[in-house]
Amino acid sequence: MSIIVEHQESIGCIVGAVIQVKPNMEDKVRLQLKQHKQVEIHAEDAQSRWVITLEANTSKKILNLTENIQNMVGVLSVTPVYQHCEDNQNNEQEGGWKWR
Amino acid sequence: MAVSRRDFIKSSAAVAAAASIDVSLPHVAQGMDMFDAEKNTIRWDKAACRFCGVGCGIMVGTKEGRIVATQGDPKAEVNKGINCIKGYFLSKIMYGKDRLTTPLLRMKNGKFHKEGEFTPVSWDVAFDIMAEKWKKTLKAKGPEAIGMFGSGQWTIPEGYAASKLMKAGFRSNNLDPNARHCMASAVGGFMRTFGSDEPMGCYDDLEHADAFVLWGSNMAEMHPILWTRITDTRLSKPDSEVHVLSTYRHRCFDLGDNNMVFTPQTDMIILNYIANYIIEHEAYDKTFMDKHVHFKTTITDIGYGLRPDNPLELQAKNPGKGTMSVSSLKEYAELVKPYTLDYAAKMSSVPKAKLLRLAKLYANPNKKITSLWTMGFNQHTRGVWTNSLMYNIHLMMGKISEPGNSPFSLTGQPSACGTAREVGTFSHRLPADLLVKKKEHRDFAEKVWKLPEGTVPAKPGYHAVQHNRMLKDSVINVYWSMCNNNVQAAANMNEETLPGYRNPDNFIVVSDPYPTVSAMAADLILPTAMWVEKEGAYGNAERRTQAWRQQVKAPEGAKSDLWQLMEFSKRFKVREVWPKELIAKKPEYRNKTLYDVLYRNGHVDEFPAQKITDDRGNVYDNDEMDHFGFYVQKGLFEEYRYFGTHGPKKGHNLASWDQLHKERGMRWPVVNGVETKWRYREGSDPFVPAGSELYFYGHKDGKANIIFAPYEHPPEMPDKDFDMWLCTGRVIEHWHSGTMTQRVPELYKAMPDALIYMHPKDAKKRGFKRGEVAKVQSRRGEITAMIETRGRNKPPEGLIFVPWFDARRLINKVTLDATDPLSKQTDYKKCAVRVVKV
Repeated sequence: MSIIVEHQESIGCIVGAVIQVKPNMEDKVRLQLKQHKQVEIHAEDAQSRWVITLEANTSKKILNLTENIQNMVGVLSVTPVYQHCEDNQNNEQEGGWKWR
Repeated sequence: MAVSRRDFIKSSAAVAAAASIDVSLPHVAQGMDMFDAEKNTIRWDKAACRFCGVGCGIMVGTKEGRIVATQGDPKAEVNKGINCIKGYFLSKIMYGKDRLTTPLLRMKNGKFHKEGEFTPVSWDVAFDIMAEKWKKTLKAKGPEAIGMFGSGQWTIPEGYAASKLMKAGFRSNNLDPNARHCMASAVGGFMRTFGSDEPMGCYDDLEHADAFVLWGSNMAEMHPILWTRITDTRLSKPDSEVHVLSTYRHRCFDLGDNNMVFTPQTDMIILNYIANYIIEHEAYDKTFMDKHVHFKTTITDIGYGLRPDNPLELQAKNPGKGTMSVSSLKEYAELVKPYTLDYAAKMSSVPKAKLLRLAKLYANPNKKITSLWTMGFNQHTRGVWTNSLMYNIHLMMGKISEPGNSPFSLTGQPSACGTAREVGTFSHRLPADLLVKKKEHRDFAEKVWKLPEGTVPAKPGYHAVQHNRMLKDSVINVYWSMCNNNVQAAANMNEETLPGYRNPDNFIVVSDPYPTVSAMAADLILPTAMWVEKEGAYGNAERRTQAWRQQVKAPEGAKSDLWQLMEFSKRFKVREVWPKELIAKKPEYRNKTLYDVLYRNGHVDEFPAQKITDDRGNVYDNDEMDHFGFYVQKGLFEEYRYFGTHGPKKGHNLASWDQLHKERGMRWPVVNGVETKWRYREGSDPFVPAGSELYFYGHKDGKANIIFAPYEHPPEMPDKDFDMWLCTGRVIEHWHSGTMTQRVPELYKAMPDALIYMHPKDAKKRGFKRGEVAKVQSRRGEITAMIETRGRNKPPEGLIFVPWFDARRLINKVTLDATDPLSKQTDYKKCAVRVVKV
């Protein structure tokens, strides 16, 4: 049994995702992912699908990271599975689009 | 071992991702008991995604009345636990800063004025002025001057309530959904070939097929979850292959084994070439065709669905006609004979070897093929024909209605199937494939609705494109648009849509959660609850109906479409709306309201107010039930369901509302609680008579039609003055007109502006650098946007692609409102433009 350590720190955004890597491109992709400290590879299956987690303070940073990974040579797709984003709890969300 | 909260959440994220691909993560398992503890502070419940027609299952995590987390639903068969990037941001679509919370009426000096400023008013004032305008119009011009524009994003109960209000209450068939812009040609193809709407196959085909052929569909961006399933199959199944056809290069080409960029409209030539190849090589399944198929030939030269005085319509011999003549295999063989490999290659610009490889694939009896298409076929001035040309090939080879062999029409909207098509919110339809023009069908609807004979008008109403023309011409004078953004979505905005909305004779109401372009063009804006702020259900592309409970409350002041429709119906007494002769058949209705006769008819109000709970004991709100005093969604759905179980067209049986709340959706027909994966196939579809193996029961004799249609030119092609093709479409970050996704800051920042995707040589020829702002001009209008020569979409020389999500660069000022004359669906994929310096 483990014990939960409570922190007041903001969790920000944490995402679990599956990426499909093009077979035979694994090493190349691994190298590119290593450039990002906030990305962790948890598992790889025989079909070159990898389980990764992404972490960032804001969901904007998560999105940029996702886009970066999507555009990496050898990555066929990035599919988020689980997303926890505490900035939704703020009452006012910064709006991106405005009527002009 | 001490584990931080961050570690818990990270573990749960990793475990959820791993579970979606059946991988176990032993090193994080020890944290799982706490993962549960963390999870317990969040209430989780299932819902269907708000966006596209794939219909992914989503787990919605709510804490203190707000959605804080979402997860791909591991139990959902559609997406098996994964999301796409839009699904990832689902929880944010409801929290845009400019969410509307009060009705806004254009006013001057304290009164409604067409040119007034939007002024906050109460719901009472809003409905007062609406009712006044509706009543005045009814009195002056009758029900045909009332119109409503609905949606494939309405929930099923909402679409059904609207259909009743319009067709039976106001007695106007001028109700059409935005699905007219996306799926009408698909419907036309289904009805002509099979006599029954919607695909025979299902997503299970994506694991069973040996080959996938994409016809005019960028699944990697528009249906990413299904694309992931195809990718899995392609990479894990030996000898499987992917063929991609498109008018420009897109992300799907990365996986493609045989990529083809063809000249717009020549998909018809390629399809007929494949048919010709199959016949010349006698590769067809003769036994199958003898047993299950008729041959037909369609009437030609049918125009382009433009206004009747348009020169192109005047030139056409048979404008708008869909007559089919009886034909034979021999005659069909003669008709497709001119579509040789040489001709197809010359017209389409696709190299011969690639076309031949494609034809050989279809002609190979040992390859299971799933063909997929979306707007490339549907938004096509010969869309109905082209849909059928696709079925021709599958029918000739007998490659249909079995695992992996599947001609599959994908949909764009979450409930284009469930609400627009199945509920029958089109101007010519009633629920469960019934038609307003058929007396037997109207009789049935009136009986179910407990209304006098003759309530539902027999004449089909105006279709969506016609709505805007009739508004401009002052034929329709009061108009209610719900759950869509048609000023941005409809073609030829300058010449038809805006003049119609701003016509001083007209009163336009737009219900929306956000101030869209359409809302800003209206006279009255009604603030609307969205997605899981209400209980509802959607039906996806594989006939799967999925229900959800209300998860959170809408912002104070915003009300669901269902609430709006029903509340508005209280403002009308039957005697104010119906003619005397009709009332004479049911005099007891005379002083009742439309609300009483439509929604308090003993069916809709059959289920009393109750506590909504799940099997874990969580309790949920149902704001409509609280307001009206009965279980509105269930009552509406159960009355609607009767059309499928007892109506004249068989095979439309849906699961009950209660069952849908327990399941991750069910594919109809659902009989005795069991869903149907492959329609028309014995053993899978309970409506197929024993011993017949396959039975296309949409037609009385159980046979499908192979329908010959020739290639005909599109209405507008590049010429000296307008020298390029324009193709419009979507991008992954945004969904449709961007009403929801443009308000998610992350999605907005990832793809803030629509770009002009152009071939580098075309840019060079015109002296443009990448990133330079240019003008796109057509005969109808112009926009300015930035040139992109290195983006994800790579057009061939002579074609540009511009997405349509951007409200500040309205590409529909430029597009042509030519439609398929049979389906009345606009062709957004091709018109002639030029790109010039600003």
